[in-house]
Amino acid sequence: MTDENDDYLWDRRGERDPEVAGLEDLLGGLAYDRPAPAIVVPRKRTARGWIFAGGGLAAAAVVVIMFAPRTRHERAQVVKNDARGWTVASTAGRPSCGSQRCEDVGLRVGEWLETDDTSEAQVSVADIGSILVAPRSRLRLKRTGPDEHRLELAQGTISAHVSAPPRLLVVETPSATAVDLGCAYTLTVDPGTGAGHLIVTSGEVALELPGHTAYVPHGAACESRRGQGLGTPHRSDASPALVAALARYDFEQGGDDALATVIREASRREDSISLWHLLYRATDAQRVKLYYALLDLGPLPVAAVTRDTVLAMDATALEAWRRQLRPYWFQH
Amino acid sequence: MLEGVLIARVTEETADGEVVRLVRAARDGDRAAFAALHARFARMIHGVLVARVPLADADDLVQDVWVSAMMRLASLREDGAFGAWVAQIARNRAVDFHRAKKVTDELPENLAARSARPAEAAAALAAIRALPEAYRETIAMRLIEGMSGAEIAERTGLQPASVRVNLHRGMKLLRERLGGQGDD
Repeated sequence: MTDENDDYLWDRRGERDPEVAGLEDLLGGLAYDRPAPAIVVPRKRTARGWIFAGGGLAAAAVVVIMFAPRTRHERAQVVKNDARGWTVASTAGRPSCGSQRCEDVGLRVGEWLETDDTSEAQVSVADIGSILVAPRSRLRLKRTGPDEHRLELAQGTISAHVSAPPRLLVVETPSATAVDLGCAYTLTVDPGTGAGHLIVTSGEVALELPGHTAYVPHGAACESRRGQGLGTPHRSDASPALVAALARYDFEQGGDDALATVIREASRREDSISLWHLLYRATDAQRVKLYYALLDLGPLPVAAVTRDTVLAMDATALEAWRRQLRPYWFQH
Repeated sequence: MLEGVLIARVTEETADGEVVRLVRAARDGDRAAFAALHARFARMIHGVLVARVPLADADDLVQDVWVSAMMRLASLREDGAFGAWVAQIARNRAVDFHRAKKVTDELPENLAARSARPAEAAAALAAIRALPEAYRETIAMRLIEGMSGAEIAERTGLQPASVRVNLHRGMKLLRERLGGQGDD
């Protein structure tokens, strides 16, 4: 793998590598050298109380940086909510709030926002972000306050884009509850079964389960089923056969047969997200197969990770392996 | 019926005491801490971006990423994970950049103002961007931003052993693609 000749590549010690040095000379002038921009840093836990930090730009530029809209989500954040309820904008058709037009009354506590086949809505979540509500969805505002905003998604799909202190936005579904921490994700609930499907579109969500934690990064997804809990995280672009095999293993007692399919279908290094998480669900015999499958996908694991430490479910070893594999789990 | 609770939290990383201190101070508005964090992480952010987008756009996007990170600092739960967190913001911004641009014919890099050999530099940049994902950021941070392997590991949250492997394999591929000889 690596040897003494890599010392120069590592930290410029040892014998000078002419090709590395040549590229350094060629490309070094492209390095970043601008000063820090002047921005206003929001004080923690309050929307007010801006503190100026940094330097080098005029105040007018600061305002432009802060309020220059780029996306629908970011534009929604400047829409103010008033005593009528959370502001709701119709992005298609005519969504209803209670029995009235959302744009007339907003989304009030206790009421359902409903979209039909052709309607969509954008809900401003207090002052922390927004939620896009897809067609054929039912979303209820249960509670809103300085410590928590709680919604219930009975069916359909929402895309949440929130920038706020942790645990401020909670969305209940029939099969699980998602607690947002400043990430962006899409949550879908099947109207018939109550099954949930979480896709993280920005940041990373760690889901704490009894005995371990599931990590769902940007570009990954995780299912849940009523009465059965959470499935195994997988990349959103995983093969359909892999996703189906994971569902059989997680929810239908697919056992060794399903696991064999999972291992066969997990052919990319990115798919190690599923194999790593399965270590926590597997039997001892299955864990051996998962260990070797992860070795085959690479990279070469760090020293703490051995067959023995993995089979023993050594927390330190597993965490070290996760940190090593984690960069491959994000979709770029 | 509602079952199960998913408690989401920012992924844990090895705590770097100084980074933790700076993040907390920056969150409270300490200008010196803000500047120190920028000095520490700006090149890492640039390395992430220049591995994905044209150089001129990378320079501008560093500013955008930094502003975004500072605006969202309150949502960072594990202060020691700042480096990995802001690196991911940069990757996401690069994805957004490409989606927004929808460019089919990219303009050639204009490096004349930044390099004495712009054509060679452009070719080297293109070769770095063509590397596998696991290697291109690390190689960009080393060869463009001038970061050592240890600095790359510390800033990104990657294990030093992983960084070393990525540098070795990335440089091997780069040599082959730029016409040099592989080293094993």
